[in-house]
Amino acid sequence: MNYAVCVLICLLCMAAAPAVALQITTTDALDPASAAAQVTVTEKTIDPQVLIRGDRATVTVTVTNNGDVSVPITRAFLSDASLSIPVDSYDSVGSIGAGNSMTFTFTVRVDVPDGVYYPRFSLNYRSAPSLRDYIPVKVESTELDVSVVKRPDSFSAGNRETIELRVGNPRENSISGISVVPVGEGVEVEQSGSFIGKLEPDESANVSFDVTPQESGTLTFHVTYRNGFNTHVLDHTLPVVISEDKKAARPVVSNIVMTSSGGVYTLTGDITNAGLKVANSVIITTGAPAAPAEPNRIYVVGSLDPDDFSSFEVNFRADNVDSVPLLIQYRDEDGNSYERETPVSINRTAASEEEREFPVAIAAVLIVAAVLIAGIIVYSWKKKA
Amino acid sequence: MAAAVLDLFLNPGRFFAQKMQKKESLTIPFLVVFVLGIFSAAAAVLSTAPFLAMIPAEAASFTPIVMAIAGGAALLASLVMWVVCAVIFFVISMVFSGTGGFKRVLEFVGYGFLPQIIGAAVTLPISYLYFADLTIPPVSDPAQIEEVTQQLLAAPELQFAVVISVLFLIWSANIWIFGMKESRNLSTRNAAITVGVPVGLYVLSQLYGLLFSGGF
Repeated sequence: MNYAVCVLICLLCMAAAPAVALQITTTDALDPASAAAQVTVTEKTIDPQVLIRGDRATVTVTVTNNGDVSVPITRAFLSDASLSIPVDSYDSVGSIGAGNSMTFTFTVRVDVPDGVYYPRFSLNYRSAPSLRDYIPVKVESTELDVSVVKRPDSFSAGNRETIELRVGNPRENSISGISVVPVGEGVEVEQSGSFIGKLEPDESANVSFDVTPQESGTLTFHVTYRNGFNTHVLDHTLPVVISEDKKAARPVVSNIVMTSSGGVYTLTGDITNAGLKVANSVIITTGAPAAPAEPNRIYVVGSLDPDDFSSFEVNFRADNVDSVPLLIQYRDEDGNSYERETPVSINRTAASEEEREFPVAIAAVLIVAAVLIAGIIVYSWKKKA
Repeated sequence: MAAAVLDLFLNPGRFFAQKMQKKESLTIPFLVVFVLGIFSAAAAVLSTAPFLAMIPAEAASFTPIVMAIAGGAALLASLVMWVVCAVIFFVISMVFSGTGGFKRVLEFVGYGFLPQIIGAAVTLPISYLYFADLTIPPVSDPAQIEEVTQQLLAAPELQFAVVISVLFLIWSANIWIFGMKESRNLSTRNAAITVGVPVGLYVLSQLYGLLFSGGF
């Protein structure tokens, strides 16, 4: 009997327990506001952190249910009157379980002036007031800073020079994928481009380019970089004006003496480097209408330091000309070839004057001999008579 | 000796008349021509040296040989010219029925070369001054060799030297006239023709060469 009573009591308890539990649960679900209050925004990020006008950014919002019961969510959305948000709403979210987190990602485009904007993130619940939070989006359009730190005083046609650029990042966020590509008409650049990579805020990097201009023009450096996944191009233009190098080597010919013998002219003189740079591989010869002749068709002077000088001698043939061009060829330290032309007058040479005087002296001898012989002959015939 | 030379220059008629009284002797005439040959040889060596620069470097070892040949040829040419002149004068004088032996003609013609030694002494320094400063570039093209040679020989110095030589040749011819007159027993007119025709032709050829080469 006692056993029967105990079993009956147990069965009754077992039958009553689920009903009690259901009654407790039902009592908690009935307070959705309290449950929704346990849902908070735990993380909000924006990539890139600082945008340039026209950029697109990814806004990520993470919410966490810190409560003990799941919370049904009807909609999550991001809104702002200024910013463009192509897909601004999550319409089928479902419930966020107790202790769980949920991430919402939006893409925004900032075609707005510089400033800080606060798009609103909203999380709508089924039976509770919405959760709202504001996410700061900073727009600051300062671009990379490109400056020339080294360039020649002047450019010469065909002369290779080095240009050094400094690329600095004045922005608050890091910039990645930075590369510099030089482009210019009439200007040959040895390097096709230079890659810098990533620059943290207030960092800078230097890049050098070896350029050889053939004519005056402009040299444009295309600086490409990425702010997040936004690609930007910045052009830095450098005018390239061909002019005489103020420090260049300047061979000057002086003390010219020309003599002639057997139709071959011998031209001697001094060559002095009146410039400020060394002249290498200095070669002297004559140009048309003169024809270089042996033994010194070409005279190799070699290297001439500034203010240094050397003597030279060249031979040539020339018919019926008043002057001939003396050609001076030399190279600079980079191997660029130069040629200077100095006209030399044939008539002004002392040699030709000497040649004119010398036969006069012989003619005098001739006349004396003729008179003497004539006198002797006449005298001998008078004696005979 | 000096009196004899002066006699030859200023009164060649008397000089040769006196010689006719003596036996023929070729010693002094040979020495005269030989000395003239020495001058000619020196001039030949002087004028050859610059031209040897035109020879390619591989043949440079032949330079002394070439210069010796040039000098020897000039010396020999003087001796040959002596004989040739004597033969020409002798043959021409035969037209005028000249009498007298060839040896005597050869002797007197040899004396007649004495003025040309003076002429050679005058022209040799001129040649030296010209050729000493002459720089002839090495030439490999034969056509260029001819061109360079013509340009060098057209130099006024050399042309004046030729004219001076002609003047002294005329002086020699004057002596030869008296020599032929005595040695071949010719009239003055016939002796002048005997000597004047060949010498005149030679002088004309020399002057023609000067004009042709562009001198003066």
